[in-house]
This record gives sequence, C-alpha cells and structure tokens, in this order.
Amino acid sequence: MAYGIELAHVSKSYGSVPALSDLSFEIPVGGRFALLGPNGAGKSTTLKLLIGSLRPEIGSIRILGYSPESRESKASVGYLPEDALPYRMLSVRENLEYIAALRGVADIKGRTDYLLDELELRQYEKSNVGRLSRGNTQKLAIALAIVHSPKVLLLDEPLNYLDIPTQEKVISMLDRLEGTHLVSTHIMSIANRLTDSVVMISKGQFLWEGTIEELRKKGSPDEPIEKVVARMMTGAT
Amino acid sequence: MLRKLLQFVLRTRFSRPFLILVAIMVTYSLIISTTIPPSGVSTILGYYAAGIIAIFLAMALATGGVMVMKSDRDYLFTLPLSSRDLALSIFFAQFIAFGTTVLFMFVYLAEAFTSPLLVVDMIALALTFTSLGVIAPLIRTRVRIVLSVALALWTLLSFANFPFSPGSAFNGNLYGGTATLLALAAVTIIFAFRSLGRIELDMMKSLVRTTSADIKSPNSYVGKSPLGAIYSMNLTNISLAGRMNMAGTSRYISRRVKTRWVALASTAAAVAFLIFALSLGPTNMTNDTPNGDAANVILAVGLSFIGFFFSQSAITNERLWLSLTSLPVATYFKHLISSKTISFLVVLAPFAIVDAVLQALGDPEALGALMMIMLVIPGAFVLEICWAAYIAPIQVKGDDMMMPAQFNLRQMAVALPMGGVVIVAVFGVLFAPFAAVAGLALCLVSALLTLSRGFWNRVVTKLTENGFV
Repeated sequence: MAYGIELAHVSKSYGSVPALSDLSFEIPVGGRFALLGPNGAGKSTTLKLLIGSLRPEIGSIRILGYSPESRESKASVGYLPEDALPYRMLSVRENLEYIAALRGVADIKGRTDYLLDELELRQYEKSNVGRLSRGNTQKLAIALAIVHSPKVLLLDEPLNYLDIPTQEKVISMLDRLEGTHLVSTHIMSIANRLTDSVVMISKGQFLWEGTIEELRKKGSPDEPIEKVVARMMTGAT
Repeated sequence: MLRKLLQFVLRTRFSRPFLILVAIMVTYSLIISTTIPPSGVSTILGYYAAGIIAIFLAMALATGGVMVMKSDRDYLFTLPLSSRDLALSIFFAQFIAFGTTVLFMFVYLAEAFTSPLLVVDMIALALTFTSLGVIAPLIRTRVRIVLSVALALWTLLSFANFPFSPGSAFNGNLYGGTATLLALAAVTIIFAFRSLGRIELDMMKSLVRTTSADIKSPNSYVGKSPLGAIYSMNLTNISLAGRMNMAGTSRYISRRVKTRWVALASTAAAVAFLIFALSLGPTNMTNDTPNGDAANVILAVGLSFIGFFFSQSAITNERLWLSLTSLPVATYFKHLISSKTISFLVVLAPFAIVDAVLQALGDPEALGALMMIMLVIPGAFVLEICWAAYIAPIQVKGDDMMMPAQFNLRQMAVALPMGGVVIVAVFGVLFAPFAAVAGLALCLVSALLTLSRGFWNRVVTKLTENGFV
C-alpha cells in the first residue's frame, strides 16, 4: 500500500526531555486523519518532524516515499503550524505571491486572486500583516499552506481564531482539497468535521489508530466521544 | 499608593540580575573615575560621546514608544488607579531604563569626567531620551524622521566646536553644552507630561504602533522564480526587525524600508562625513593627526554598529514554516544571506566612495577605512547573522510590546563578534594591511558558513527548538 505519511520507530527529545518515543504510524495516500493527544503529547513535534525542521534521533520518516528534507517532499507538503505567523512586514497579497513564487507555482496571480476571494481576504490584500486581526491572520496562514495545492497537508489546530461562518467556509474548502490530510487537534468536534480516522498519541507514544466510527463504538451508545477519548488518553478504564 | 504602584511597575520591568548588573557598572564607573588619571585621549572620547548621543537622540525619537507590556493592558490598566499615578510610574520606569542605557554607554568615558557637571548632563540626557520616547508616538512618522536627523546633526555640530549642541559638554564647551542639555531636557519633559496627560493609558499600545495599516507601494512577485523572489524581496526592501534592548528594557520592533531610501540616507550621511572630513583641512585630515584618526575610526565603528543592527534583523523576521517548507534549507539561507549582504553593500557603498575620494586627496587613514567598509564590515555582517542564528535566535512574532528586562549569557553573547569588529575597526583604520587581512579572513569564514549545509541544518534545528514558527 502507498503511504502519504510513514513514521517508523521515531524518537525525538529536547535535551533530556523526551518528546516522542518509538512512535510509528502510517497514513495511506488520500487518508484524512486526525492526530489526537493531550497537551504535551508530541503532536506539534510530530508535524515539525514531518516537514523536516526537526530531525529524529532514531527512526525514519517518509512523505510519499521521500525524506522530509528532499525537494520532492517539500514540493508535496503544505503545513500550517499552530498560531501560524505569516511574514508580518509584507502585505497579504505580497505574502501569497512571495510564497507562491518560492513554491514555483505557475500561475501566481491567478492562484493568489482565487485564495483572496475564497477566504474573503480581498479587502485586506494591501494590508500590512502585522496589523491584521488574529482571525484574518489565520485565514491568510491557511491560504499560504495550500497556495501550491499540496498533496500532503499537515494542519495544526487549523480552526483556531476563526468565527463560525469562516470555520464552515474553511471546512468546506479543505473538504474539496484532494490529498492526504493530517490534522493535529485536541478538539474532537474539529477532528470529526475534518477527518474520518484518528491516530492517538500520548506522552510521545502511539496509543491507538482507527476510524472515528470505531472510536465512537468504544464507548456506550449515549456516551460523548470526548469522554471515550479522555478515558483512552488517561488510561482510565 | 503612588509608591506601591511605582514599586510594582519597576518590579515587573527589571529583574534582580539586571539591577545587580547595573550596580556593578555604577561601582566600576565610580572606581575608574576616581582612581585613574586622565590619559589625554579626551578628544576621541568626546567624539565618541557626541556620536553616541546623536545616535540615541535620533533613535529615541525615531523608534520611541511608551513602555507598556501586555500584562499592563490586561491587568494593571483595568485596576481603579489614578491615570496620573500610572503615567508617572511608567515615565519613571522608562527613565530608569534610559538612565541605565546612558550609564552603559558612558561608563567607558569615566576618565574623561573632568567635572561633576557631566553627571548632571547624563541625567539630563536620560530625561531627554525618556521624554522623546513618550512624545514620539504622537508625531507623524515623516516629521519624526526629519526631527531625528536634525537632532543628530545638531549634536554632531559639537565636532566643529559649536558651543550649544547636546554633544558640546563633552567636546570642550562644558557650560554651553550643559545649558543646552538642560534646556532640551526641560522642553521635552514639558511636552512629555502634556502628552501623558492627554492620552489614555490603555491607548498606548495603539500609539506605539505607528506603522501604516496598508503597504503603500507593495512588491509584486508574479512571474518570479523562487530565487528571483528572494532577491527581489531583499534587494528592494530592508527589513529591520529585532528585539531592541535598551539596557534591559526590551522591545520587539519591525520596520520595512525601501532600500533606495536607506541608500539615499546613507549617501547624505556619507556626503556629510566628506564635508566634515574636508573641513578638518589638510593640516588635520590629510596628515596623521588624532582628529583625522578619530574621524575615520568613528566612521568605521559607527558603520560596524549599523551592520550589527542590520544583521540582527536578518533572521528575526523569518518564517520557517513558509520558507523552509518551500526550498531546501541550505539553498534558502544561502540566497537569503547573499541578497541581504548585497542590500547592505548598497547602503555602505557611498561611504566607500567617500573614503576612496579621501584616499585620493591624501588622507592616510582612508585606505584602512575603505578596507573596513569593503571587507571587514560586510564579512562581519554575515558572521553576525550566523552567530546570532546559532547562539540566541529571537523571532519577532507579536506586537510592538515592551518586555520585562531579561539578561542571560546567551543573549549577551550575541554581541561578542561586535566587540571583535570594533577592535579590528580601531586597528584596521590605522593599519590598512591589517584591515585587509582581517577582512579577507572574515569574508572567507562567512562564505564557508553561508555555503555549509550542515551548519544551516543545525541552525534550523536550534531555531525550531527555540520556538521559531
């Protein structure tokens, strides 16, 4: 089976503090997975390893079969970190055009115009990013993550700071995007809207993998799915 | 209540290690000034003092603001306190910050302190810096820039023996200079307190954010290749971003300026230096005299400081999640640094031309200064970028907010190469071959680092682990 994302026995620590320990999971091409875990579980570290800005001490990582540092992987991946910050000295349009150019997008103007309209950023296109509201900054960050139509999309809390109508717009837009998606979140309702499967980690270790439906079935019929997840993360019975 | 508030405001801004460091500096200053006799180098120290005063007056006005932290807005300003007390407390805290800055800058002048009046001058200077910072946000950006330049030029007039300049007290006109500084302090304090009385404290955050909401003349990257986009961005604009540390009172700033405007300003400054150098006349500048040496050394040291300031901006405004997911790490950094170095060379070029002219006119130190400008300062610029990225990377993320005073060895270590560059500047100007050899060595090391894939991979890991997004 072809995998969009593969982690095999990955360990990573910050100094003497272990962040990930022997973490392994795979996401098939086209899979929509949520990366669930409590605070400090290692979700953001996993994403940073997947984009190649951190390197594992042990283990291997592959994106569509390529190393995260390779040109092929970089061309394929779109990444949205938590609390993403675009270039704050550039305008909204400059950010989009600059990153589209760095990404080698063929129709820079067309793609920029499309995203400005799609995310309702047109009125801010000349605005200095340092002066945008947090919500509009997040919309721009999402646009920057998908400006090159990535085959693998890594999103860390993508709906943070967005109002409800914008959340719905973004969910609908992400839904239309093809490719492999990994969404890091600790909010189950977001996982439920954006993905259909879950990889659960805790304390840097693999905990569970399956569909959201399978996860739901682990609890009693009237039990909220959040309670099931909390029980699994804390190891409670 | 005012006393308690003052204590609280000071404690939230200055850490204990910082205050201990200040105490050590004061003690050192006192011991030096009372035990070491004047060595007769007061001319050079006088130039140094006037240069520093010019830079700080201009910067206080150009980039000034009010020291308000996020926690102030969220908690302190919501308390039922008198706005007069709050204003006074914040002004006083800012005075302490600028006062310690003055102390750091002038402690080395201790041996030139031939009169107690100079201590009064330092207090007046600190009050002026503080007041200018308070007034600055109320003045339109263009007016502020013009006033900053005017203040700097006025201060530098003391080089030409003008008795009523902020730098005159340190250049042989003690009474005229002191009177000028006291008058300047009085005027700016009046304006500062009128400003503090007029504005609401909870508005200070928006007041310190004086940049325009829209980019006036944006760049277009349509049709650009990846490398073309990097060069286009960094050659047309100079991004000044970083944590400005005024003796412990830190502030994140970021400004974007068209390279052509900076080049124009540096051309004006270079022409001013040429006129000044020629005004020293053939008996001074073109013969080996202390005044001629000092002018060239001050130019080289001043440009080294500007290079250091620019270098600290190179990485602080970077966005790893965007740039490094687009291009391989080493490729991106190689071209980022190359483009920024070219941009910096454009700013340095007018000074190089002026030094070439002076060399042709027979100034014996101009060749050394030229070597400094063409080799040492650009080489050091790249090295300082690499060093800061590796040792203590700081990313500008949020608003232009003040941060509590923090001191740690890593942050202080960022300035280490600067100390080396200043030493090279002093000897390099006097001995051109030394400047040439040192410059070539610096350029070689800088080039090797810039081209090293392993180095940049390690830097990216460090940046990421230090919280760079």
